Amino acid sequence: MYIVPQEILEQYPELVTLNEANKPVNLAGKRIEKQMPGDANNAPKVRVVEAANQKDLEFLFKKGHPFIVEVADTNTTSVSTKEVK
Amino acid sequence: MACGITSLSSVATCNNDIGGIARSFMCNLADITAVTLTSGVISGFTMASTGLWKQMTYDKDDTAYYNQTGARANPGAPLVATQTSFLKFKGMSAAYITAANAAKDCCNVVLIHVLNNGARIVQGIVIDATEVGGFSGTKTDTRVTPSVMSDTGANQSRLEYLIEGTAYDFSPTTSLTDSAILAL
Repeated sequence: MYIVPQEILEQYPELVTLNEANKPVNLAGKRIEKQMPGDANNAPKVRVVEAANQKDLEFLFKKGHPFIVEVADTNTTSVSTKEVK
Repeated sequence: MACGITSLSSVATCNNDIGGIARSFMCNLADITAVTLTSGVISGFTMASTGLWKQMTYDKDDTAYYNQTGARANPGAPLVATQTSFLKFKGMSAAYITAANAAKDCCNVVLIHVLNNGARIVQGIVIDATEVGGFSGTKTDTRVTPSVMSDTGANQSRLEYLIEGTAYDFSPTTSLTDSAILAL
């Protein structure tokens, strides 16, 4: 599985980038809803950025994103431990 | 970058030689947390939040530009490119003055300029794989120097942004479209 290390998330509690479909996603794993005031070029609106999923993280990892690392699946590890017991 | 000589021909390739910039997008350098590259072109920005790129729609009168002028202090010195963009917004208003006062206090800015020939160049950023996030700022900070001009009754009142920094390399390009930049 793919994750953003905790030390990066502590520094940047929100990390917005584009996924393969050019949709904004938050690498910090939570949905962002932000009220944007209007300006000279845009009307006021609510911007919504969904949390990135594993497919998004995999795409960005393969593209060379410096913050995303591949780690062993913790769920799989947990199951394996039980099997050993 | 390692030394290399590349064969060039403006005649053979029929380059699109229209000058000037059509529109730009600006944010603070600190708003960018990471970049990703595809064949040396910036194909992705990661931002510290959403809605941080601000669109700059300036006068369409062929005054806007982004120039990178190379120079060496002496023949053995490294090349330093002075990177300068100029944006002009006609008229004068309280909103312009507020914007100018805020822009002058930014320590380091980044702009994506969309050239009239369609190229997209990123001012204020240097690609550096050794840095966290894969980039750094320019050699000297890229800052906005605004001017608020009434001029005379014979001329146009206006807000001008002169944005300048220096770098050892020329600015990278990006493949991001307008809609992709504004979606971030």
